Amino acid sequence: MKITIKNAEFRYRQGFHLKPVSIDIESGTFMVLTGPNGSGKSTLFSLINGLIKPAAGSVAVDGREVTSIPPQERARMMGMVPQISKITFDYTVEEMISMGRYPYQGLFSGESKSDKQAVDEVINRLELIPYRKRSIQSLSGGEYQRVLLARVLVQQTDVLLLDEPGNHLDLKHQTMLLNLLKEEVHKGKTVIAVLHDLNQALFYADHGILLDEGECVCSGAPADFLTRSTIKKVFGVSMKEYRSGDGYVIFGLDGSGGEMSRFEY
Amino acid sequence: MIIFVSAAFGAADIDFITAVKAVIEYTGLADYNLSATVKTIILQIRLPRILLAAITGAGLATAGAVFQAVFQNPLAEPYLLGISSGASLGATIAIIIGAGMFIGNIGTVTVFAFIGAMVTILLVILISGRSRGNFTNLLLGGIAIGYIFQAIISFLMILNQDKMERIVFWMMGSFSYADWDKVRISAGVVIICIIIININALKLNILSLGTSEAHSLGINPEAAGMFFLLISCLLTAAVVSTSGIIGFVGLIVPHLLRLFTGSDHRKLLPAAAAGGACLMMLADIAARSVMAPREIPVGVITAFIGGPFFLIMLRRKRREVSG
Repeated sequence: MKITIKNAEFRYRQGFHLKPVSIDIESGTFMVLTGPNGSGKSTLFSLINGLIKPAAGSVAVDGREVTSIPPQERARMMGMVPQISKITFDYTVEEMISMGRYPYQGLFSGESKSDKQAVDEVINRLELIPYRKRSIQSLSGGEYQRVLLARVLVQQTDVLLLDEPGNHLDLKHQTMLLNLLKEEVHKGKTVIAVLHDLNQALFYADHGILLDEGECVCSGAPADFLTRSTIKKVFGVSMKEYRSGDGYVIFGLDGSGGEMSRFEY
Repeated sequence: MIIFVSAAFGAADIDFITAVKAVIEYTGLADYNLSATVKTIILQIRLPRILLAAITGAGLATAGAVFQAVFQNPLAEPYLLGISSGASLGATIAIIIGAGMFIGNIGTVTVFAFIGAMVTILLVILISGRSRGNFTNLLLGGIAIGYIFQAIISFLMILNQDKMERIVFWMMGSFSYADWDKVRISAGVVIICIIIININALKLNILSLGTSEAHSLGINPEAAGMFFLLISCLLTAAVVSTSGIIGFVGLIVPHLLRLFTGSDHRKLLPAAAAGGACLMMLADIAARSVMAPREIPVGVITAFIGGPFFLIMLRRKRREVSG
């Protein structure tokens, strides 16, 4: 499934302007969106997801304008893991995950055998069996994040959009998540994730976009544009560059400015 | 069960068994030779009243559950968009120009109240416009229009002080004017609306997660939200126009039932409809018998029973969670 973004831009009434962006995202790509807070990542995300319509330019999936695809059909093509927000009503973990099957259900058909099977499989895969009947509001942030991930997997879409999916996860679960996403990419799926951890971006992503003040300042393989000078320019943070034995670059605290190199902020 | 118990309550002394017999006789299954008076009281006065109470309770509870989900706010209730004020204004006008008139078989008060409620909703939607899946504007519009209508009602009441008592009594909500025509009309609308809402229960679950999640799960949040609001407004209008404004049921019943069924609307909606119907029938028994032969407006009873009961449930639930 190919996503084509052509000169798409968007302007909020409050003044924020996402300047024209153009990217082609081939299937089987792990793409990362990164940049400082308020740089336009979420806006670009919403454009790809079809939640907002570009003021100019276009966002197309396999040649079809994304906002023109009927909602249920679009939800069979792309699914999203949103940032964790407070939920008003207290569903159980299983109810929440089952909602990922909605795009496959008709008005009168209800849950089919294959719906139930898909839910069971994912609950197994993400080790959520003990949580099945637990209420959402009783979960920790990390546990809830896994439930949201489970829901998007149940949706069985070719494109997975994830908005800061590692936020509430500990190191082990972050790694598990990213490995799982990598597996999905190897199966031919497209993963588009907002990540703040530049080292993770370097390690996992095939393609990256760096946004700053509503503008796409860099695009390409993360290793090509994530350099000390770019980071200094965009984030205003001095970093040290380490090179591992097998050639990976790792950024760490410089120490001079005293600013953190942990990237959540 | 509640229907029969309820039928046995009232100014005339008719026991439970007799009430059951009257209904059985009506269906033609048996003949108990009951007096015509007893039959009239049960079949023409009490039964329509009981059924109207049940329909009203089921309707308000369902509409309340829908409003809470669409606005993602557990404090939402069916009168949120000014329906009650619109219906009151309609009823007030009808009472002032002459309440005894009929359009078809339905009293002008009911017809005007219904028109008032629907006009209010359309006004609120027109004025507030559609704002990207966020219904806050709608809510504010509803509140504003509600206040304006209330002012008009107060003004009309001052000009027509002789009709004031009737207007106030209507606004407090009562089933004392129930008859089979009202039952038929409101049952028709209410049952159809409840069925449509229940069929779409899963959609309501997803909508209650918020705009962006609903969108990514395959729902158009604006269209779906508007659909649910319109249906539940129609439901509320049908109920309010026949029985006046009965508060608290739409707010509290969904909450109460959520404690038992959880939040899944596929379970909650039918439970709320049944619970609302039962609660309203019980409240109506109380309204008729607590100070018999005088009647207390049923809205007073629902608030009186509902409020404390709700607080107790809330406390119990909190204890469960914490320990």
